[in-house]
Amino acid sequence: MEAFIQYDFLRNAVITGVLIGFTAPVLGVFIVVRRLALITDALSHITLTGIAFHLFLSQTLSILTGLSPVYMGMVFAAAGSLLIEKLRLVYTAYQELAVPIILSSAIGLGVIFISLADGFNQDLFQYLFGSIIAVSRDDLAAVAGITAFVAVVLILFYNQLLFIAFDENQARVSGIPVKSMNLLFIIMTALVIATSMQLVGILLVSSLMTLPVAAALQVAKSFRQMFMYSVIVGESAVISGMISAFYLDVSSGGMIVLAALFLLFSAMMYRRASGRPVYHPGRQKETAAE
Amino acid sequence: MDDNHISTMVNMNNITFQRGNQTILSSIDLSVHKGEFLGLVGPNGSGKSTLIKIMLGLLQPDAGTVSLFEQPLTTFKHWERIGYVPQKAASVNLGFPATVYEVVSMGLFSKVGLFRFLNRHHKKKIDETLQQVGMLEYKHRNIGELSGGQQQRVFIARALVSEPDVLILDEPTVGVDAATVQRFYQLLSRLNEEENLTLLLVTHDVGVMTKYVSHVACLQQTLHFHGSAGDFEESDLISMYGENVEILSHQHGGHS
Ligand SMILES: Nc1ncnc2c1ncn2[C@@H]1O[C@H](COP(=O)(O)OP(=O)(O)OP(=O)(O)O)[C@@H](O)[C@H]1O
Ligand SMILES: [Mg+2]
Repeated sequence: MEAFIQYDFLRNAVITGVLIGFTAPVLGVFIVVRRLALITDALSHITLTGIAFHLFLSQTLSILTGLSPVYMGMVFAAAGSLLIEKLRLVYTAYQELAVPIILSSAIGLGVIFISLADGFNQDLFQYLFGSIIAVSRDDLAAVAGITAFVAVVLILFYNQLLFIAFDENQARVSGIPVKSMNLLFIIMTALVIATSMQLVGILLVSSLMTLPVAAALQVAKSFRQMFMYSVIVGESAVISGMISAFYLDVSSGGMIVLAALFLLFSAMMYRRASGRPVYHPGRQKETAAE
Repeated sequence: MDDNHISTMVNMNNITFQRGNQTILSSIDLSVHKGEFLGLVGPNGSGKSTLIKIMLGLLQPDAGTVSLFEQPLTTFKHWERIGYVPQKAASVNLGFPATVYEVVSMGLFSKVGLFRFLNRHHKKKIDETLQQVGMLEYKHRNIGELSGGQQQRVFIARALVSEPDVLILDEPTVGVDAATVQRFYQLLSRLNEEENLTLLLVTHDVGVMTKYVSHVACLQQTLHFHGSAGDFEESDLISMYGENVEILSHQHGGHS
């Protein structure tokens, strides 16, 4: 434990971890209940494209070398999120189509930038799978700013976001500006993903948004409890994952995801043991009382 | 807003709506006045739900204008004054881990605005409304764990909780048991008479039509009839539903 206090980079990593252990699952709650979990994958891949673009550009533009690639990742993620919103409106009946469209464009472009930028190097590997030594002061500042932004938005617009997630049409008829809210939400998601990926890695960041929520779904009895449990699981996974990654000298993203999976599994077991029936929305009619 | 002088709650002017090259609604003029209980009838696919969605701004008409509370729809802001129970409201996200209480409280969100906490008065109102639809004992149950009819009652409560001036109901009682339906219409009728609540109800239930509504509108792409329930003739129904209307009752009650 002492090492975490002693070394600057570890302290950065721990603070970052605690912050994203909160923001990722909180946004994840809305994402999961709206059945948009795959969007997080699309956004994380487009973040990678941004990072590859940065690495490519910094070969020729030396001013960029000092700057964290996360910023370019954030720009790409935000742009990608706008594109997804747009596509969701075009394919109202097949909203999930936005995901493969963005995902494949992101990977295609990303691969091109990567090969232009000398192929895979150690940096890129860190972004793919997460590393606790990758978190710089700059990155920490970005994460802190975004966490504050998320907190303010949630305090102000919790009701509106909850209503939209539950019933978009009804929310519209209640005078909630659904379109702007959706936009705000997806940009927020993109930024959280872009800033989480140093610790968790691009390939695993979506799991930090969905696994804690999946665990919370097992035990929560209300929307409020969903938040509580999701954050508890998210924080526990991040903290225990980081500590074990440091001592075992393995990727932090991998350990965080394993910790989250372990908690998800425990929640399932708990539910089973507590005798609460597992709820299947599709079979709702037969199992309902009355 | 001071609106005792407002008498036209909904006004639709020359509404036309097309999907592809199929005309769903053509040149509809319809207004609902304060205190009316308007029944909107028409066969399946005649455009009733479409008309209501246009009224609420959920669909854009190809031509025509809508105003609510004598304000153009585009600038209308007082959504808390309108309650809406969509057809098959239970088609919302059922895996959603929200309690009955949380769902009904959503009906208050446009009223409480940015402030996230409901006060004691709001909470009491939620309880009262749940009591009215007979769902109070399910307050802390998960919405997804209720039967279809119970869910529908919760959605009715959500529409009623903000004490709207206009309530728009698109076949609200489908799947609700007869006793509850009975109680529900008695409640509507009481709110209509005592609180001067304006009601627009889409229904295929002619019993309800003849017993409770004050005005009738028959829709089949165009408006075939719009007037007081007393003037409503069976021929209007026959011209619309075809000859086979025995299921429709003969007496139109004395209501007008
Ligand atoms: N999403 C849609 N896409 C294409 N056509 C639609 C859609 N929804 C409705 N329609 C068409 O619009 C017409 C009017 O539908 P609408 O739902 O308004 O009918 P309705 O009068 O409410 O019928 P019901 O009594 O069955 O509820 C129908 O011909 C229907 O086929
Ligand atoms: Mg309909």
